[in-house]
Amino acid sequence: MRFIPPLVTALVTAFLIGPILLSALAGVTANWFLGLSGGFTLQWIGRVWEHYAHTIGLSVWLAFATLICTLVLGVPAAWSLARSESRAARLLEEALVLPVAVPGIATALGLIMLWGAVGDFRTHWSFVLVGHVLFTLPFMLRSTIAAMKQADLPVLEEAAAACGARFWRRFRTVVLPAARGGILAGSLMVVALSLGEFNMSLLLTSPFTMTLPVGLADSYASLRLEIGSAFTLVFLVLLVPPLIALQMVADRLGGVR
Amino acid sequence: MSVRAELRGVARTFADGTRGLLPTDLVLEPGSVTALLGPSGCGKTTLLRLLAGLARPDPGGAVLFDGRDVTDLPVERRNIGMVFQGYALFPHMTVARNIGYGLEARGVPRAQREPRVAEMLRLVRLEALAGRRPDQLSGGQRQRVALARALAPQPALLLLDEPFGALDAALRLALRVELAALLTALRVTAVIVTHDQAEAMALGDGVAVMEGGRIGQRGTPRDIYERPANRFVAGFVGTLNDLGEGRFCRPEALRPDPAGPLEGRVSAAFFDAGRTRLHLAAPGGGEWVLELEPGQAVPERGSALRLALDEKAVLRF
Repeated sequence: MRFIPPLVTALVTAFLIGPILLSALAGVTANWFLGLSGGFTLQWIGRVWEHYAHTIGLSVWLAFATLICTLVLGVPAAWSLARSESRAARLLEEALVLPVAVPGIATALGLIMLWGAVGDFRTHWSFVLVGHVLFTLPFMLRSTIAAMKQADLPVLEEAAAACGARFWRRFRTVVLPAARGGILAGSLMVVALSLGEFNMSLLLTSPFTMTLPVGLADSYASLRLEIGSAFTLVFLVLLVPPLIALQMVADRLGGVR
Repeated sequence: MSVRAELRGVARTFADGTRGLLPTDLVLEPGSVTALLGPSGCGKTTLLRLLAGLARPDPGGAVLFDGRDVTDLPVERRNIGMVFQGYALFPHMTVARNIGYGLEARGVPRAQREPRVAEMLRLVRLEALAGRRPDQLSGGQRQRVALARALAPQPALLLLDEPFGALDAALRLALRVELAALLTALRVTAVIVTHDQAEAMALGDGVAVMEGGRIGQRGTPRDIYERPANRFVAGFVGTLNDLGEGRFCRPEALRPDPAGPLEGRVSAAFFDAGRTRLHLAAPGGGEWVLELEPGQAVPERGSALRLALDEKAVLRF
């Protein structure tokens, strides 16, 4: 019976990765409907680069900007939530799971109703940024709050204050390092979510501010299947290695406490 | 360097309305070591936090350092050193950086910081562990790091909250002796919070016994042991034998004497480091405790024992 666990693992892995591999494979076939016998080509990848290079650039830029925003907004907010003993703070923490349950499209519609008529904001990339920050901020908050609570932060901050450290020094030298693991995990989540976000982005993007996943949908919808598949391949090659590298860095930094 | 600290009518009411500390006056002379002794919930830690500036007194109370009102000064500006219960060492910093943190916070340049940290490491005998992190240290080593961290910036007031609370009995004793020597040598005004009467008596020049949010009695350890102000204080700082009619005595006031006026029945005998502690069933239904000198014969359990009483040592409440 010893072979069963590895077999199950292999099957589950195949189930998860199979479709992605298939799609990536389709991107280098000359004609998917003829199968592998039709031969291979890189021309679809070239076409993707021609049509969609700007979406890749914008997505990477958006992910970076989203990360900066969630760090600047999220870490101080997490700190005050983690320290507060009020009921309102506990309720707010519970409410942080909501964005996962609320369809992105609903949030996007709300944003369009609120900001759609304000100048050129609707067609500017920062409009998509607002949506991405809205969507990812709770993830940053939750993982940072968890790390801060686990670190017994109030006591460490009192100890730092008793040593004579003023607020900013305490925040820099005690709070941030103590929550480092959570902040890194949250950052990784935010980058990954922003890069792959589709629901909200579908409504928030304009033809001038198209993100990568929206571009991917666009290519499947309007061009050959092979081009969409080639796009998937480009997506994987571009983004999976940096995400893995980030994860490794986070593991190493987060592991040492 | 050492400060004269004073509390004037300082009280503390918690957010839920409970009184943590009733209005209290307390003067700590420069260089004195005061032990705050009491059961949990008596207000001793609250008093310490008010001295530190980690908590604000209720309106009307004032904290003074050398006559200067520091009530509104936050903890980081009071130049104190504090050893926390459980130590609260910074987990991501090395031992050396933990010890140097107070100097860093006071803006002492690295060139002056390093020799001072080295000096503190020597003082607490941790030179070999300067590069370790707190989770790689034993309980006793952590305690010493916490002490060195508090002392490194030469604070005017040293506050210790149950400094040996997390250690086992043998280590407590060894570190107690060490701390007593250190405090005598440094002559820093110090306050030690503890629930262990032996610790309070050994470390404090003065002891303040606390009960129900106020100081029940303040005095030298000998004063408090021999002339306790009330029954609670008497019972908390040592064993108390109830002789009936409001008369009490310490174990030392009783000794076996065939011609003595009292009689009890031996219920148990405990051998403890050379001495034997004898428990007797008193005629009134209570229990008396006395200690036998080394070499004295231990009476059999169940046998009757006549006792002499040192009338001068009788306490009345």
